[in-house]
Amino acid sequence: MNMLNSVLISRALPLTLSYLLLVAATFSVDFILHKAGLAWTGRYLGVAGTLLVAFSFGYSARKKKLIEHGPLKHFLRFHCNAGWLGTLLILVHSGIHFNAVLPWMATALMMVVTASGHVGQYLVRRIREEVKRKKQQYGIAADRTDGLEQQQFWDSVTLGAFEKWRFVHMPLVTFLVVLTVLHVGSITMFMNWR
Amino acid sequence: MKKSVIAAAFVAVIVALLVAFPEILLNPGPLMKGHKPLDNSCFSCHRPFAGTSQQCAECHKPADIGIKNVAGRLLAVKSSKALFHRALSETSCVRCHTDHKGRQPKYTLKTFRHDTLPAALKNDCIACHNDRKPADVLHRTVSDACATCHSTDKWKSAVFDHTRLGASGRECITCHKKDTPSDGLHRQIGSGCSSCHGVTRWKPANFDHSRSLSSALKNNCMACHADKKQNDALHRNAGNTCATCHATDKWSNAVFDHTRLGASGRECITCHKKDTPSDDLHRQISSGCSSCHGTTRWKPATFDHSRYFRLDGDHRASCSTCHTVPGNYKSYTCMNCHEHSPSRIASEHLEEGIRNYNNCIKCHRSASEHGEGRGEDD
Repeated sequence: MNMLNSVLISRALPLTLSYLLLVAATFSVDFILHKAGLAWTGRYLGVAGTLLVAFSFGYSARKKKLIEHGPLKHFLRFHCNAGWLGTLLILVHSGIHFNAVLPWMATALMMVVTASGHVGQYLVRRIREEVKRKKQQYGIAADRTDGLEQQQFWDSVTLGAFEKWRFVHMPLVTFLVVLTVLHVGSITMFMNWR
Repeated sequence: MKKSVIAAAFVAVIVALLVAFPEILLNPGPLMKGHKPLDNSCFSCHRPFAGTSQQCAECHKPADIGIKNVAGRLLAVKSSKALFHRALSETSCVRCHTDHKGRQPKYTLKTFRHDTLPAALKNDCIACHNDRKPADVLHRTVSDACATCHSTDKWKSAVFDHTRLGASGRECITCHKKDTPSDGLHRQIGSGCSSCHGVTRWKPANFDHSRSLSSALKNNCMACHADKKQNDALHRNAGNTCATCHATDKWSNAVFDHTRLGASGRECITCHKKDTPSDDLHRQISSGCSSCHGTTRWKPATFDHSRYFRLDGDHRASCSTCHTVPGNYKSYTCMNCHEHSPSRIASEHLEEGIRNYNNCIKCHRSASEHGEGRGEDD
């Protein structure tokens, strides 16, 4: 197999780079903010990042039909991008120095969930390619976007690796939400509001 | 097991841990040394959802700060610098103080902002900074309104507005005596600093020779500038009237008028020996610079070859065509071309009865067929 066309290079490498870029961007933004005397904005970046990640859950709401309109792939793209950016803002917010253990746990779990999200993204792309390949095999036009593709897609995602991934990812997300709520709650309780 | 049960169990475990070990899970850092007994008592300082701004004054009475400790005992050494706290609001502590930065108290101070002070205290700098006021003449004579010259972020650099002294009649030297240089010039000038110096900085100064000096001193440059005189032949012979060549704004760009040497009989080389290039041409010309050079600059020079032989027509050749002995431009030969072959030259001259024909330019000053007379160097 041509190395450049291999799944590892075409799918896994960009996502690995995306994850490493997240870490590099955190150090860069943190450095710039300190140089510019704007480190105090970190507190507010935490709020912005948390809201972004919360909004990215619109994808789950769309899947569960709590939101009834809009192409699912747009929601998925927003889920990935907003999740990445929100994670970046929260990492900068953490200031790359940890004091209390609760926010430390939340940050560590957030990085695990983000890594898991990247794995999920990889699986979705692979499934899409599989669907395309099968459509071509059955002689169905590749650019058709009627209900058949959707049906095939969800038939696929309920099976195999993707279902196993969701089995791990969703509890991690739940635990992250719990830690985040406790962190926000404790900060709200103890902080000076003036 | 249902997902919601797992989530609920996780919440229960974490909340239990938070309650059991708040100092590990929630405490963002150790309290300062004095607050150590409160390490595990978050709510001693924090009120739920109301912060800490109300509680500091319960122990730290603003009126006692700098006088008594929190137990109410008088301090062995009163800190007058801390007395300003009595004028502050009881809820304003967190503007300057924080905690959870480690045991060392010095890490718990934020940058002090004067704008948080009440107006009365803000304009009474000396109430806190009395020990910073210098005892020099200037500070003895000015008021306690430090902010007129100093800013609140640092003492230096201060900006003193000299126009405020307007009608005070004070001389510069009253405050700046120690700034006066001890050189000859400043010893003579006395106290009129402003005739040369501005009020924002000492340098650059603007010394006006015509205005500041007496007529006797004005014509005696050496009285002040003896150390500037060059020790070369020119300056040794030039006397002490520096102004003949130099201007009063700077020493360089001097203009030497060579016509003043008119009848002195001095040769250029007397002063310009070190300026003589070491090439072959200049080595042969021991003096007489002025035959080629002017008196204002060395270049461009005007060497007139036509005085010896006019280089026109076929004679626009390279130097080495005729000057075949390297470095010797007095030596030349005309026999280096087809036209002037030795046999032909000999034949033509002997035909005319000319036997002494070896020094061509004695008769020939150009490409002209006939001789034009004797050369200048004969």
